[in-house]
Amino acid sequence: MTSVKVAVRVRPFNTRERNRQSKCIIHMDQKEQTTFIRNPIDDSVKNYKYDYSYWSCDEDVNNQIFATQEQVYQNLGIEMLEHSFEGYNVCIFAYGQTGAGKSYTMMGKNEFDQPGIIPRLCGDLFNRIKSSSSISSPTSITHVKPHYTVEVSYMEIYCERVRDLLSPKKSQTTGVGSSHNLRVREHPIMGPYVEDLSRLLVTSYDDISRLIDEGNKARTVAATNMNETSSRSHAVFTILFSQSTHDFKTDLTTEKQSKISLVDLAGSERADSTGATGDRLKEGANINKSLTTLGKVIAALAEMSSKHRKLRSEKKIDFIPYRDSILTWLLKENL
Amino acid sequence: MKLLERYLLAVDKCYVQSLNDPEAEPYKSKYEARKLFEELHAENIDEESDEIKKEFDTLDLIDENNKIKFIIKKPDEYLYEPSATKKHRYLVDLLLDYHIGTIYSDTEEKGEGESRLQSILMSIEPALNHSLICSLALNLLNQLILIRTSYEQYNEAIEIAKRADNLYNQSLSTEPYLLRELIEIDSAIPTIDRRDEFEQIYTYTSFFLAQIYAKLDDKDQSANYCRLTLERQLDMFHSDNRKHFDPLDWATNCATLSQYYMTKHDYATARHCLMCADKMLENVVSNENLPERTASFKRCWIKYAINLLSDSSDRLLQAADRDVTPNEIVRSLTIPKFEFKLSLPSAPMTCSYVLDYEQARQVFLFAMEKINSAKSYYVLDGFVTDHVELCQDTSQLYSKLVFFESNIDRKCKMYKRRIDLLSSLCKEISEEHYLYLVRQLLFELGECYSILLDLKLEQKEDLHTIKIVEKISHLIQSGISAFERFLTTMNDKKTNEKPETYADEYIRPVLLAHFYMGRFHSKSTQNRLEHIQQSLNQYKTIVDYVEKHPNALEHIEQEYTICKEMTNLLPLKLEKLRQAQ
Repeated sequence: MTSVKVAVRVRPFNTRERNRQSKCIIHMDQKEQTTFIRNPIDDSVKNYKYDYSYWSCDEDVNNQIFATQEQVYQNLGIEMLEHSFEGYNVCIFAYGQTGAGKSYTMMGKNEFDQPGIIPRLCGDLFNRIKSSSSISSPTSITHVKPHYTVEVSYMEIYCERVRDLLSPKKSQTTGVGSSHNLRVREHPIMGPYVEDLSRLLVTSYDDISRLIDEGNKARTVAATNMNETSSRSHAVFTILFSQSTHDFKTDLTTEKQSKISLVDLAGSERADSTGATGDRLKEGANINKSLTTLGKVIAALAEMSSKHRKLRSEKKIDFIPYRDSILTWLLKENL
Repeated sequence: MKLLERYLLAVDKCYVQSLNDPEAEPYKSKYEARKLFEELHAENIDEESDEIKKEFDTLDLIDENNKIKFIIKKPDEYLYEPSATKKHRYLVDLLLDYHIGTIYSDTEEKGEGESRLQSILMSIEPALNHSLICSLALNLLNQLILIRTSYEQYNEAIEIAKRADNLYNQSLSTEPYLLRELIEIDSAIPTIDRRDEFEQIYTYTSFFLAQIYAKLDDKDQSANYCRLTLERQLDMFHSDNRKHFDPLDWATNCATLSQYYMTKHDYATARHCLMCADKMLENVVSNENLPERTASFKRCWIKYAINLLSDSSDRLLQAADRDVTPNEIVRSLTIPKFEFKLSLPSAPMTCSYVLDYEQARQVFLFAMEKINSAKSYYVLDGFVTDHVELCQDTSQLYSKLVFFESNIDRKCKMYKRRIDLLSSLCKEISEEHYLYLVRQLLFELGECYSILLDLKLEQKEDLHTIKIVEKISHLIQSGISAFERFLTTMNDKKTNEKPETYADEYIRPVLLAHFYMGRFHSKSTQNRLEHIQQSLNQYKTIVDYVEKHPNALEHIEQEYTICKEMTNLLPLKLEKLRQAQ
């Protein structure tokens, strides 16, 4: 059992791509879970092995088996839920450009009855809770049925600033979501946490769906006001799942708490430093126009110089980096 | 609406409102602005003020090879010349074209943008440093630099920047009218404000050059232009034009620049930058980031101290190795490459390489003071990572200082301090959440025990007294525990089994941990048979791993030969011990 799994999924052609008669350069070997990408210029093929390669492109292309929402959930979601019930934390991270289909995989489409991972996961979560709490489920002499609580929080991270998307303190100008930045603190025993992040109790998938929508609204509105594009921020939706069991014999209550984190539900292009999105402009050649990035330029210079120096010196124990003999993170707020 | 008003609206749409354009239509405002600018070509301009007419007296418009150009007119020259109105109209059209060209460039039609901008440049080339032209010219050159850079034509961009340099230098006594004043001069604006705006445009040129040189991998030049940019910003600060100036930002950038010079071992310059950064903080009006920033500058000083001590000891070692004086290895630089115009207090610490314990101690004490001060902000409960790093810095400082200490007893005391610090920290943080940190701490702890053990054995005390035997035994046990715990952190969380294969970055530390444990066991004076067997096991583990994973050899070559030897010698030793029993 590995603790990290990587899956890649390819979507069907969209209208624009069909109109331009785009050729499909991707092929998947579903037995080996390998993805092959053919370079249309020189026909060379590169292959990448993943834990799962999902073919969800047009069915009649390349004769491959179509991977449905159900299948994706079966592979990825069920195990996540299982781990969560066991008390482990799980995280699912969706990465891709706008239009790549992240929302479809994560949330799905309601109208075509193709729910994604999140609705299925939440649905199953509440179903299991209900069935284990129902009168018909067996109990033992010593245990009472476990008591479950499900809370959610939703935050947005942009340049190391954290915003609470479900904050009751509505922003005065936007009427939704808070514009106040929260601090990330590290507790020596409990670990890192976001100070004052709202945790809302939910009892059904509908509750969760509603809160995701509200949070998303808060993201869009704020982005417009912040002069920043939402595509550069990351959203983290967390489900805090607590199970407490009371043992009559010992009169002890044990509690298991697990976190299900769903990261980056919105677009995640790497916008380049000039503010335009990455795939149009060659990132390497462009320079920053804004003087606010002077620090970033200096930091990059220092880092380049430091790496250059390190490569020349003898190989040291790598995992204890000499806690970088320099500090370029000083500007972490502005980077 | 007057031309000026409509112009300003278009400018606002182009540069301000465009920042809020939706993701799917990122150029919406720019396209709209372009239309507005184009329409303004047809808009009538107001009658010129006397002021602007006067300016046009020295600016002439000629037709050269079918190209209409502005030229500087000598004051007593009388040529057939167009009216002020005509000149004004042409100038305004050039201004509008400038914005339109820039928009083409900004909206991915760089070729179109560049040719338009080039065309404007040709029209004003002969009159670049005229007060009505210079601002437009400098902005134009900046745009062309950006475009050339985007094509990765860095050297060409640098050539354009040189022209900007010339323009700037020749315009030092000119009154540079703002772009919007090409439409209508604003008599309410003081000269100094115009001057400052112009300076700001040139600051951008420096900033762009800093980036271009970075792309050319000319780090020194890049740093030079970063420094120049900071210098120019500082000039703004001194001339009381604080509009564009943010002291906290400036201080942070200056501190970051010091880090670059540290990588070059230029301690004099690095120190100067840090001192300027500290000084500038005094000008920050209360800001919520101030406490954190102040604390982080202290950390820069700490790194400075650690690096200085480290380089100093390297230098002395190399000098001893090659049997030369330290100065023949490298001389201390005491003069910084440049000096920002800030009045600074006297330097808090040396920038020269240290030679002996006394000098090293000064550096050490300075750094410890910074550490303690920084820790009052970076408390453990709230800032685990930062607090731990500060403790690791403390440990590093001791490890650098001990090089200069010759007395074994005092060396032992220093290692004891490190051990106390690291072991108490290990107990205070959760392994689950701070795995990476815990691993670092445990490994370093184990190393400290190992060195302390060697020192104790060297102390030549009577190794048979119970007290000493107990001490030695305790050190061995603690050292082994630390490395054992370190190795356990690598095990599978569910099954607690050792992994078959370790990730590249962990191969050396893991095998070293076994190596250290092997050594620890071999130094034991009690239960020799048992310990030698354990020692053998550790060396065997290493040899086995390398056999199974040949690529691991490069990570542990030197130690491997010893391990192999041990696996041959130790069985014999064991035999002898068994027979003796």
